[in-house]
Amino acid sequence: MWLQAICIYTVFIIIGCGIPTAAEEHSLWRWTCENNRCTKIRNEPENKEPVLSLEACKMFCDDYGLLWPKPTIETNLGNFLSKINMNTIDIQITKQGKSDDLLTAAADRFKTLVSSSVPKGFSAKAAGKSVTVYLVNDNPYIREFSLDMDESYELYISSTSSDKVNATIRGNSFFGVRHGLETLSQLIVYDDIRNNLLIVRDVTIKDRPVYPYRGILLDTARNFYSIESIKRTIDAMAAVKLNTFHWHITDSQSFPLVLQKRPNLSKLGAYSPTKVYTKQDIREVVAYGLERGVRVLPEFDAPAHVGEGWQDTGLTVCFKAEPWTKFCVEPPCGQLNPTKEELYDYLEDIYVEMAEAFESTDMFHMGGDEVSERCWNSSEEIQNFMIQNRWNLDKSSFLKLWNYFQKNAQDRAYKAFGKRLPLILWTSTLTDYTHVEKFLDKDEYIIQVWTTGADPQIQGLLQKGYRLIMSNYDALYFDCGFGAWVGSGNNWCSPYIGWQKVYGNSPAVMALSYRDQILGGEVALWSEQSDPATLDGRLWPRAAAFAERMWAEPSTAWQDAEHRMLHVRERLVRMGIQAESLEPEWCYQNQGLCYG
Amino acid sequence: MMSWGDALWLGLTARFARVGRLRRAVLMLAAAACTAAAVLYWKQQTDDSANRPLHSMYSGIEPQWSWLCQHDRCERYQASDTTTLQSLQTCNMLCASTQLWPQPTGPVSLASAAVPVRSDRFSLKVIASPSRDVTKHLNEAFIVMQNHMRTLEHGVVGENRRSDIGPPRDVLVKVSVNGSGDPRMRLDTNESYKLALRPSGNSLVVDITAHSFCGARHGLETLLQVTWLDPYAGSLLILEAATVVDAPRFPYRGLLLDTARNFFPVSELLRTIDAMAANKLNTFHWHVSDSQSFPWKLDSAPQLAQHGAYGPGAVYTSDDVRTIVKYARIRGIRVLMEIDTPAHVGRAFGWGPEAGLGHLAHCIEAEPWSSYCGEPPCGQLNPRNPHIYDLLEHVYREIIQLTGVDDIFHLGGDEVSEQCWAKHFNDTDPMDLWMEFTRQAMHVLERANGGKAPELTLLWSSRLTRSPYLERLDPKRFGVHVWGASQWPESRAVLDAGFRSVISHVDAWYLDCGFGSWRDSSDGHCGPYRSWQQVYEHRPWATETPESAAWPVEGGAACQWTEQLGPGGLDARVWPRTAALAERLWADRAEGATADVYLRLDTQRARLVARGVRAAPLWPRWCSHNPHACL
Repeated sequence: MWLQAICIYTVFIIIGCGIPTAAEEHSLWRWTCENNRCTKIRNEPENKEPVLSLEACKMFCDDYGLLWPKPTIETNLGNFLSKINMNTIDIQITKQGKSDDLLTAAADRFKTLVSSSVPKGFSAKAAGKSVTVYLVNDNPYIREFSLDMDESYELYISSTSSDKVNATIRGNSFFGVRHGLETLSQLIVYDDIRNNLLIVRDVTIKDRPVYPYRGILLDTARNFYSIESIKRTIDAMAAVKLNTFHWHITDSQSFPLVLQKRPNLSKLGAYSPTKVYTKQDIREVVAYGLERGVRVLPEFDAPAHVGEGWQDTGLTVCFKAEPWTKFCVEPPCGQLNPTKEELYDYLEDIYVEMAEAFESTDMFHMGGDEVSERCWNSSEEIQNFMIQNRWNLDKSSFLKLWNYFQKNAQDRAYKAFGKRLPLILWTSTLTDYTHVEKFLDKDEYIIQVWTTGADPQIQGLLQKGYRLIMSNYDALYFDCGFGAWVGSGNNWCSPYIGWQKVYGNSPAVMALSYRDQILGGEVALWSEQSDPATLDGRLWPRAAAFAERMWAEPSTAWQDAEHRMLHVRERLVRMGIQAESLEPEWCYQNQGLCYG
Repeated sequence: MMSWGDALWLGLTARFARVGRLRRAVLMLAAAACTAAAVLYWKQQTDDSANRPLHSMYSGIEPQWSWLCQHDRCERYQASDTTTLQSLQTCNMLCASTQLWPQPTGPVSLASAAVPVRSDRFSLKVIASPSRDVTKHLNEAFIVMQNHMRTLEHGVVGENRRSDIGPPRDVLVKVSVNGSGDPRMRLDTNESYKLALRPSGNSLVVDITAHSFCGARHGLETLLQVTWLDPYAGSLLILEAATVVDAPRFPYRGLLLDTARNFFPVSELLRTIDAMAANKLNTFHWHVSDSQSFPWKLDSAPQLAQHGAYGPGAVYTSDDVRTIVKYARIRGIRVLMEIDTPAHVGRAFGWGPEAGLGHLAHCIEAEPWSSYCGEPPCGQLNPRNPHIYDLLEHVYREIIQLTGVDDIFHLGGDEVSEQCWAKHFNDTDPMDLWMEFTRQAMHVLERANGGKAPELTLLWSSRLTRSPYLERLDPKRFGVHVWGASQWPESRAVLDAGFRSVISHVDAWYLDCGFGSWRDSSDGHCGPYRSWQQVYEHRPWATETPESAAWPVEGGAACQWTEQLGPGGLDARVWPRTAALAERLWADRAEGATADVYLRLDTQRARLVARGVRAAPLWPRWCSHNPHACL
């Protein structure tokens, strides 16, 4: 603690010639770091010391400053802030390779981020030191996502002369260097007392994520989202170093994906001819994601969760069956008929076009969510098929049928993507750990867990060697806590999940000794009660809380992260994300006083 | 089968269709009284062949779906499978249930035929008006309505107007106001109106009669609701005929917005007020200040915002207030500004000593906060400092001047901490201090209001409004804004004691509940979330007790406290749930959230979205496309 105390008393701001400006004289408040908290106090006229703005104070009042997510290996922020001139930021890319265009795009984004650190209604003076950023990418040829890609980076800042600040970011891939730029952008703050941009002057940061898969799922089938709102989401994800946008693009309610070979699926299945995603739209999103280090992962959920779009194919059963409660979990029902040979040609066409559109993905999500035995059992054709195969009509036989579907679909997926890429399935009766190995190979399939974090399935699957992605609904389903849209009361997974719970949701605690098999986690926004109007507020800033858990798996609880969390929310708002407010602004200005 | 194609061409006279199931009997009587009804009965045409859909005539993106009215329900079909092409909007408007929100309380008859119109072909004629002021307001409200129609028309991309729907009709809106010459929304304002829309030659004539500007404005709002954009026709359509007789059940229908816990820019407030008008709400309760911040820069006491605002970007000027008040007044809405005292104050009152006025407040940001207030930061006025009453008089005078609301006033009085005062005044019972403070506040309020007490001065329900203190308050002077849970005995006691009340029961009408705690990881103090159905179904006055029949309920308000809400999330948090409240307070139908309510609210939600309000969806769009399938 004594070290901290020394730091507190040596915080300085290099403010050029040191003469207080008119604005400074009028500043009614100033902040001072006491006991690891920034305290708001009156700026008395007789005060002669340099006055700290809120953000400048926060930068040194905590080991991790205003960084989010916090770096994992080494963080040293020094004691000094230097005034910089935003217009003189120069970015040098030192090693050449085929990911140069991505680095250039990341550099442009960095400049945009720096300019958005100036709050609305303020402007930064074009005076101060010039900044040169050197980007050193030791593997400039890598531009492909993979589960073992190297996202680590090192960041150094120093001032070489009185008018110059140098920053160097070194990484083993574009993805790491890009993260370094995000971190660098968080080390630049706006001083609203003097209207200057400030940078932390003497920095050493070494950083890498704990989990390789850090995602957000968006369901664009229950309600439609514009491409613009999806891009906005990816922008926010990049800011907190999330790396996977899981696109749950179709469901029973609508089929907005336009396919050239099977145009009827979206023609009959989209909510309207304008509420569709063309191959070009998706490629635009994929390219946007790549520049931001975010893979865009397609899901084609099957054999359940289908319906609209398939009307004329004759390949579904129990579509819109009533009463729906008997055949599915929400209206409308619908399931693919696995006994139809033609179905697999359809699936192959869908997969092929998905592979073309989602060109950068290294994985494929095959869904497998909530298959209803009763739905399949309602079809005479399926019953006959099962009898011909000498199967009963009991539960285990329907698992065989499901497995029959999955095996066929898997072959077509490998064919369509041209490689045996990792496949992902939701937890279900098929993935039950007591028999999962009979159906799914642990080296081929990754299981995404959506049941609670206390579900014994987690340990069961880990013991059998399966790799998991955690989306336990009790902490990571962001649609929970609103009124029910079918039936009365509140929705099934109520109550609402506060950011504190999201932050505390630790896969390491669930995995115990099998932590290496946890690839990461994913928050899910199912969209029955959400659309572009509610998107930002549902996801943000809660997804940022998740991002720090995934990146750093901190041993500390939310209390230690709270003031940085409030800042990342402000940052997202400045970026144009309509993130919800977690607390009165008073708590942001009066650190540590809004305790429970 | 009935399509709008039929309706447009063949609906020469309107078939007067029925509305909500409940009112069937009433309407039968109304129809019987109307001797013309039999004559007007128009046999539905079923000849589809003459009205082949002209897909080719539609120059936009080819419509994918067509909705046809079957058994009083809109069923969705592939456009290519049907012979008529009808949009969901038009089907909803013409098929079975009325699509008005809130549901009118008097007889309603609506044509099942529509004709094309255009916003610029509407004209206003004020037939009777009691004052120049009312005439001026009518003209402005008419322009507001026309602007909303114009916004709808912007939804038509390019030249997509179908050529076979005929030319747009002229619509002459004739308004007669016989009654109050005061355009303000007041406690005694008669908000009833009658609307009659009928064809007259090639044009349409609308007669709106009311007893006040506000009533006539409601009529315009209803007229706007029977006008909609048909995206397939590329044109606005309007029902060809309609009569509506309507009046609200409760005179006070409000929404509270707290702009102190987090700041909301003026544009957000204006949009909220416009959405309120769309639902015929009439009171924007502006909880402008609290202990966290004081964003209003008063002309008479600028120190409050100087010391209390979050920063220079988080301030409302007097001009801002005037803008908001004017905007609201044209929309039939009073702005009720609340500066909550004596508790819920903070650093804004911390400048007394340096100004030589002594301590204006105590316990400002006192720690541990849980000893001195309900949430951080603490702060409570100093009831023994006479300067505080001078200051309050300035504040009250400025509120009344700026808002023009002098018949209702909200004094606040929420959550006073006895410990805070007990710490500073150990010679007096804090309850006596509170009672005395309230009396003095009332006294300066009278002075600020030209020597006359407002007809209804509201206090939040609190220990002061519980026995034995309640008996010391005069029910002729004070009303109670009841926020406690509906089952708390004290929530009923104030009504039993005859205090005029505005209801905001926390268990039904607090919109901030259900988002977890902002101070710890618990589920929060008032969770879970209140669904729109819960908001809608809350009818505390309809209890079985004999006393409740005599309760002086003025109405109610939804409360949006903003500890966990910033500008971006406002619309979706408030809408469409506050629309549900609006119908409860306007129509107070005995029924709960029936299928009819789901469908009408979904339509109303679409109206709000078209007005630029980012209301949350009720359900997957699929359910809107397939009415009844999710019910």
